Amino acid sequence: MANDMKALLQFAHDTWLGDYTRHNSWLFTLGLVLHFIGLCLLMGGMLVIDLRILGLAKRVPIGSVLAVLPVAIVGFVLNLLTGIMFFCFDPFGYWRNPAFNIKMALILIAGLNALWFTFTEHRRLAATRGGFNTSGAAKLSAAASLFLWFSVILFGRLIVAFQGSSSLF
Amino acid sequence: MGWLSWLESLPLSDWVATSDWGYALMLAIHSIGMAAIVGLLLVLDFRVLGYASAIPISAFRNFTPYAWAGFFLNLISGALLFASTASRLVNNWPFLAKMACIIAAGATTYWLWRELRTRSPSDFEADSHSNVALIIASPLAKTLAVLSTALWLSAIVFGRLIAYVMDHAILNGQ
Amino acid sequence: MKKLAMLNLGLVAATGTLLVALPVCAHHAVNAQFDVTKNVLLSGELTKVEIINPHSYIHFDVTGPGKKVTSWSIETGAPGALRRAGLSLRDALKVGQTYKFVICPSRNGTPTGLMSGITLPDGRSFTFGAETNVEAAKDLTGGN
Repeated sequence: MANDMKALLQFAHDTWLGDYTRHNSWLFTLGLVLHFIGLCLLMGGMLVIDLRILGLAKRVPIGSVLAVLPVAIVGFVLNLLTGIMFFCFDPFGYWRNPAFNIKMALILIAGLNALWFTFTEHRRLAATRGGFNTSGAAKLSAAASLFLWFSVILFGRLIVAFQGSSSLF
Repeated sequence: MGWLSWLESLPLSDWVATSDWGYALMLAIHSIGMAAIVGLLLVLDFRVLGYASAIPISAFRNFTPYAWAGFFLNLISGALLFASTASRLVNNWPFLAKMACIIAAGATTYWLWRELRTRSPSDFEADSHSNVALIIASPLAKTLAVLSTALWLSAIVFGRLIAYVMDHAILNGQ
Repeated sequence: MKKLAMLNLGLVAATGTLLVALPVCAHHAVNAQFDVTKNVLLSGELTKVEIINPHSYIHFDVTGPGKKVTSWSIETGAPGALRRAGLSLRDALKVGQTYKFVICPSRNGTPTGLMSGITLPDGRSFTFGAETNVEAAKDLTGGN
């Protein structure tokens, strides 16, 4: 492993957050509860938005359905914060876990997909104020979004299957 | 109890209980189903409470198949997970609490939906083109929405505790 | 109207409490916390093994000084760890036989713990778990 990476992982390990979580495992449990709630908020928001873009509930303007986006963002941020806590608990363990790596890669791709949508379709919809139709590209992005985020959940659940030591479920 | 042991002895149960992938896969499916049903219902609850009011409440009618899909995914994966350690789960208080919460949440959601339809039946008509009519939910509906959120979130909390309590029970000779 | 508002507030408060307090309390009550810095070597006769996910459980009796028998219950790590170490619980464990276990004991002092090493009657040894205690476990089992 490159020395820089090792140093970074060690840094994460030695943070107050990492130390505290390792010595107070109830925090890990609480974090998992919040992580699951976060994922429900994220997917609830994404399902409503992406399914609408794909053509469901056509009488709702796209702009209206995007009002649900903050719910998804809150879910994502909640999971980002709890995720950082989990990572600091055992950075080396997660780093060498294939399921964790794939999960992170999928999140990155999902994020890029979301950015693309924001700077193309979202802008166009905001400009036209109350559009009902979506382009083929937008539909593709929405389908990809759903596929990617559900895959994130799948690989998140596979993390434990690749863990070596006393995993806290 | 005889039928619990019988459930545990089924090949499918054994696969979930002992194989690396069976268990992880069941949990993955369970999480995906949870995301669909709890996610969609939470958004509905928030809408009833007044958030994202630009969306007609009745539009959520179109999303119910996806919520049901999530529910059935969880019913099936849940049944398999239950069967794999049935005799231990029936004595597991978080599991029992989770089941109670889900039944209560289901009833609450049904009640909420009925309340919404009663208040504004025309808006829920299949051919309704009302994309401007925005419903402000009744006080009862709002209370049901809060109750629904509380119950679904509680189900998640109890679900997370199942493994811990089972672990404790086994280690301490129960 | 006001009654409903109070009811709603009560529900929110109850859920919030549940969300935070329950995982905390339940976690204090259960001994999911093992002292992974310690390794204890025990020799005992197998009484029961439960091969279930996510952890399997091994129960064995240790006969101490004065013929005092203590019943131990330990949990194994994730199935992947066992698999990677080359151990099949189903094939290796037979009730009635004597095994050597290396465990990380529970913090609460009960005869329970986390298995980090095992030596079978035929002499084969396996170690698994966090890297920090694999080395220590290897020393104790005198194994590979």
